[in-house]
Amino acid sequence: MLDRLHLAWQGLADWIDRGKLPALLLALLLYLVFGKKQRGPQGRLIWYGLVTVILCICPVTALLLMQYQTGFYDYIWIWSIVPVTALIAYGGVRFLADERKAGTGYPALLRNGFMLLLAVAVLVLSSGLGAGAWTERVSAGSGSAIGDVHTTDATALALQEALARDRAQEVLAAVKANASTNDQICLWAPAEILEYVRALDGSITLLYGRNMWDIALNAYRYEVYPAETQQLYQWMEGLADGTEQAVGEQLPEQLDAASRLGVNCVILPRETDVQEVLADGTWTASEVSTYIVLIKMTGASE
Amino acid sequence: MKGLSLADKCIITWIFMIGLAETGHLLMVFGNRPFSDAVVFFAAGICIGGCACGIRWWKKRRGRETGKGARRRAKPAKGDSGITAVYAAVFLVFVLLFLFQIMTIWSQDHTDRGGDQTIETVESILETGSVYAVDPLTGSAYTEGLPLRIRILGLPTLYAILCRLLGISAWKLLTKVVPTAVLLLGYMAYWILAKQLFPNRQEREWRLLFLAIVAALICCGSYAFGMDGYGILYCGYRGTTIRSAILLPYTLALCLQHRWKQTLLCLLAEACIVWTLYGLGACLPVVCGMGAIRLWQIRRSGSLHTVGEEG
Repeated sequence: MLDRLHLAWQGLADWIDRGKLPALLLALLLYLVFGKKQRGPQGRLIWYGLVTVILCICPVTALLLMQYQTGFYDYIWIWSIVPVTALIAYGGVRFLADERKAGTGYPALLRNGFMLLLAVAVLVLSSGLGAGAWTERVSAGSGSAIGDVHTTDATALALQEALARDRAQEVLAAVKANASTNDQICLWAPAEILEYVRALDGSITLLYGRNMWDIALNAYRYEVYPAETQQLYQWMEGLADGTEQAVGEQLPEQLDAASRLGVNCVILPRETDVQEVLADGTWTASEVSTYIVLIKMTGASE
Repeated sequence: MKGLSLADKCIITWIFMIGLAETGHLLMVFGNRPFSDAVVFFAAGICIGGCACGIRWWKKRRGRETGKGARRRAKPAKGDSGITAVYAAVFLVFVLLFLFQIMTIWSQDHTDRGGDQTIETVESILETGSVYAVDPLTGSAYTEGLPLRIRILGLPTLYAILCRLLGISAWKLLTKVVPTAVLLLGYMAYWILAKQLFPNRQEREWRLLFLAIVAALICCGSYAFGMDGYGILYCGYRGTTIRSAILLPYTLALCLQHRWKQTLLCLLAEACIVWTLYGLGACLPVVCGMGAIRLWQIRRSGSLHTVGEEG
């Protein structure tokens, strides 16, 4: 029980680690509850917000809310019941409306302008201006095979993602152009290509999908990949990273293993030595972008 | 649909589309109907709904022209001088923020697909003509099946139907068009909420300021996965984003207006697009919470007509 309470508390700590909008919400609720009396719809919204914020912060009630979600969702989703955006916006308007100085002279204008600037500063400092979360999720490999773990620059990562998607489209076009129109294409490629294939073209089957590296996707299915498929994934990623040693010697065996699993199209980094594989005529090769596309000849035996 | 604003009608139309798509989806899953039947069903539903609304509008207009049930538009109160400098300034700020968000959605490749397979599922539906005939991530047939809670969600079918009817790719629809629609409908929901919180005509500047702060929060508040702004800007097609951006603020607005029966639409819409079988969703606690507070207020005041209450 203590562990679960700690989990609920840790969820809150992680939730407010990067940005402080929940803290700003609490501050505005304090102002609204102890300030001018609010009746009618406004009063109901404030009381609802206050109660739900307390429910989400207190570990015991937070745990109950997480149980309501059957414990499947993360802590952050219990905050869905709190109208954070609506309450901060209402609180902000109420503060500015109540505290502004009446009049059209310079003193009133200066005071109101300064108050507005401070309010904007509070809003901006309570949040992280957005980019951090996306870049950190991509860099941490949360669901994406793209991303240089050494950069959290949003622009650089967005460019990487755009380039990766364009490369994937280019490779797909080359694969479809070179493959026989009668064959169902079963593709094996580095993760940065497979990341986009099924999202761009539903006609191509894959040896494995995004759930190989994005484990959250395994919640959608009961199946698990066999050990052989997982080994092929490890090998391909080692080849793409340049960490796999003696790849030239292993390539024919890996291709045979992939062929047994139904693969008839393989994408490899351009620098891969494929001479030995091409020698027996089972595969044809073409180059596109920074890859070599190997296509199995129709009717070739394993 | 009596007494509904344009914003209400837009949101209800979106919910209606979700309902139609969900019905078509369930027909595919449990009735083994092909995807083309779902498309026809959806298109027919939209046409019938559109015709019904058109006939109603025409009857209303005819009623106005013949003087029956004519409503006179209220003349602005004396001293109400229209658009002030403050109103114009706030409106400009809101428009700039809104345009910035549109640019973010359309010009950059900031799509968070982590833990989500909607785009692949839509492509699979378009390719195979059925839903979950193959594993969306690999294109191979399922060997172990998939959980029921996934099979019953109709959001991928809605998107696939829209792709088929609009003739655009799943990638473009889900990463650009849908997030833009969600952003627009979200602002409509918050506008309806603003009208409840600032109901007087003299407070219209505050209504607009409310919307401007919401826009600022969407930009600034996108610092973490799970925040409203993050959902809209980086994964606007997800069911959780539609819930947080549209359904929840709309549910709140309906509760503040005591339109309790209409909240059922939001509950059902959420059930169709989010994993509601893990709990009963977020809209239900909102409705229950607001209902409980309303009951508490009534008990405190001792009557149904509380001082300061509206309608």
